[in-house]
Amino acid sequence: MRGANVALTREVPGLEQVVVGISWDPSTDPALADNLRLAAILCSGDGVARSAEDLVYFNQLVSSDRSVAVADAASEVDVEQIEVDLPAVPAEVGRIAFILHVNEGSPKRRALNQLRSCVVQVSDGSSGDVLVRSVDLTDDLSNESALVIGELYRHRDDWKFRVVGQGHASGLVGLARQFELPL
Amino acid sequence: MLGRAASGIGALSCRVLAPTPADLVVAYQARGMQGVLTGADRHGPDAEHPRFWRRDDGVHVDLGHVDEISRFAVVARSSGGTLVVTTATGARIDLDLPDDGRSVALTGHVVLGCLVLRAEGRSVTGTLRDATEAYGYDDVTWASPDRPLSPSHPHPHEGNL
Repeated sequence: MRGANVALTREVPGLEQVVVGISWDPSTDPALADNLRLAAILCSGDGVARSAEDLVYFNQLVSSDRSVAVADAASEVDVEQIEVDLPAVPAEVGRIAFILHVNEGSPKRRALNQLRSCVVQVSDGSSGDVLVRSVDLTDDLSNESALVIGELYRHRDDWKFRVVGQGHASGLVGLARQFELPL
Repeated sequence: MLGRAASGIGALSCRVLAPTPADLVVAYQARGMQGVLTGADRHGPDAEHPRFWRRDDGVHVDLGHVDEISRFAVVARSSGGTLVVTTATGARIDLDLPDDGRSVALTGHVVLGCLVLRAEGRSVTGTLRDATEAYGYDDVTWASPDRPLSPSHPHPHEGNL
């Protein structure tokens, strides 16, 4: 459910590779599916990105420290995935936000409420075990073009994951401003 | 040059501010195909996956699919005025257009994921085909020297085979 926290490294001691995946109904409008993107923003515990290189998405596949990367091939369940190497995440990064957004450069304007379903899943990258699986996040959406689906964050010596499901009408550009990502 | 982060967000928009109407045309190479988006077209390379598109306010490049785009050139036919180029992330370039005739105003190349824009400001004589071929767009099929065919359009002789 939204707001649910899972203490990943406490539940799975020694966990190092985390895969955050997103899946949606395959019968989604092709124009929408063509323009859906999964992104991640690395930021401090206060939610501030350090540089433009803290955006990981289709045109910048790996963070500069190589700790976060768009996965080459999604699984049978997930349509898009981002992998996180927890030990490689720099100490100054306290939070990694995962964002599903609609490409707003297309003339075929779509919104996330046209998705029939949208589920985020967090898996152990080594074993493939599912650690977190959200409810359908589309229930409360209206005309949003970006959605913070969840965030991975440090809590004392652990990494936790929280399902967020917060929609934004201002798209990826608006979210980048919120995280003070310099573009 | 836009960084990799800004190069993949939103649209690059080109519009003309001028006292008289102006035409904007975009020659492009995307997904390995070359094409020319004229005033008669709304989308290129095709309507299903439009990476270059036109509305009343100008022509637009879909940077959300910048990984499919290799390069493009914006050709203007105007009587003076300014070509205003903007991005979703707030970048803006203003380019003066020549007082009369056709010019290749702007070129864009995608280099390692970064969009590199160059103000050309080069007046060109001859046909639209001459202008675009001078910039290397020589793999376009033309119905006439000023009327390109869409890359998704069947070859004019295919029906005779």
